[in-house]
Amino acid sequence: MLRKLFFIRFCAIAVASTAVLVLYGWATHNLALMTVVPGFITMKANVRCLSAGGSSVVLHAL
Amino acid sequence: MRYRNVSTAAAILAGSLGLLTLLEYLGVPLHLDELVFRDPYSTVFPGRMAHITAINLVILAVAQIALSRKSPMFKVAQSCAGLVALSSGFAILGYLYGVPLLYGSLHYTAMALHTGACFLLLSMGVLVASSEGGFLSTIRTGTVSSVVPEIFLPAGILIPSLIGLLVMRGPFSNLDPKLAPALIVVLNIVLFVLLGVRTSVILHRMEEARENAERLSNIDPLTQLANRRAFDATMKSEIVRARRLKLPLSVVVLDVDRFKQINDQHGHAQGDAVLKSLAAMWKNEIREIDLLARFGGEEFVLVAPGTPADGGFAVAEKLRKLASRCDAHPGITVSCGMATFPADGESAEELFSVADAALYRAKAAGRNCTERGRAVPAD
Repeated sequence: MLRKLFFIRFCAIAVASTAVLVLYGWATHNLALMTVVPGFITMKANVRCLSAGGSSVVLHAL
Repeated sequence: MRYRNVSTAAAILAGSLGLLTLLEYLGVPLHLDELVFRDPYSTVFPGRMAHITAINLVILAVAQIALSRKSPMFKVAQSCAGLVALSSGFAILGYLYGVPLLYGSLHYTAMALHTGACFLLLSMGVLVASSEGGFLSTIRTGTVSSVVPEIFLPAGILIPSLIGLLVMRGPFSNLDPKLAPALIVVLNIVLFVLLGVRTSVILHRMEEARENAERLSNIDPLTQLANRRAFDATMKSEIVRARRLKLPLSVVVLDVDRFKQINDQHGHAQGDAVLKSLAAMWKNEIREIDLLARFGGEEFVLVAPGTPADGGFAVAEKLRKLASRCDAHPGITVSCGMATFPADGESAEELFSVADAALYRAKAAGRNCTERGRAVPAD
């Protein structure tokens, strides 16, 4: 049960953190944060709603 | 779940953004694309998430809403999360292998690598969160049902992906175009054979452990005879067999006389030694088809299939007389009660009850004797 909770929280926090970093990347025009690998496709700013999804899963785990 | 409403609202928000983006792809001008930031990097639809990303958001929102209900719809949540995991897995493999078609159509915006990773993590989170019901409910850690998924899922997903990476982008990428897919196929076959063998070995070990546990659950640890549980099961099956084949069946209940005195005067270790010695002696004197069980305390019971009343009485007497030669406590005596199917009873419970009543008559008659059948009513 603890492992399960830990995994769910890890997933949710990882997703929410990625979304925050990408938003920061858009705000500061930091392409590295938007694409991760140079030349790859950017994560769109409105995909920040993924962070909402992430928090939803966090709440599931509470 | 304390925050069901907040969780549902968050899922609806994410799903709505996905749905509105899909409407934009269909030509509805909602101007969501660059609502937050201007996008100088995309050319086709600046700022707009990929259509596959939007679809994934909607599906994942459905999964989370299904899971947030008071009575969660586990199968819906798991099906949706599985779809999202599949599409995001394809996207990640597309980046690894350099195949753009796997992470989005070339005509639209494609899914970003970290978007794919996020979707994969979120779908895994939903799958794990919903594992108490639905398709995943049978998978319980530490049980047989979890062995196959625990071995196959990580290995079946990671190793073929790695094989593909080695052949398409790694040291084998310069191979003949026909040899590369053949190599992938061969390596995957080897992998699945190895996984199959490994699973078989683990399942075999678990089966052995289960059989061992079942055997131990039917054995009395002190005397190594069958225990009451095994006696109950054997009695039931033997009664059915005796009824079907119209054969007699005798049951003998043996009780060590004044056993409490042995325990009190010589200690429980001596009492245990007496029980062990009697069990070993009696076991050598009965047929292979007979069952001798320790019923509890100092009481033993013998089931003798196909044995009529006279034969059962003879066996009971033989065992009773043998008891006096007990190594651990010479001179010990035993009282016996006996009943025979079908004359004394037609069910296991009735037969045992008659034999037990006969045993009490033997005790009342001065011990060290055998009584059989129902008591004859006094005139």
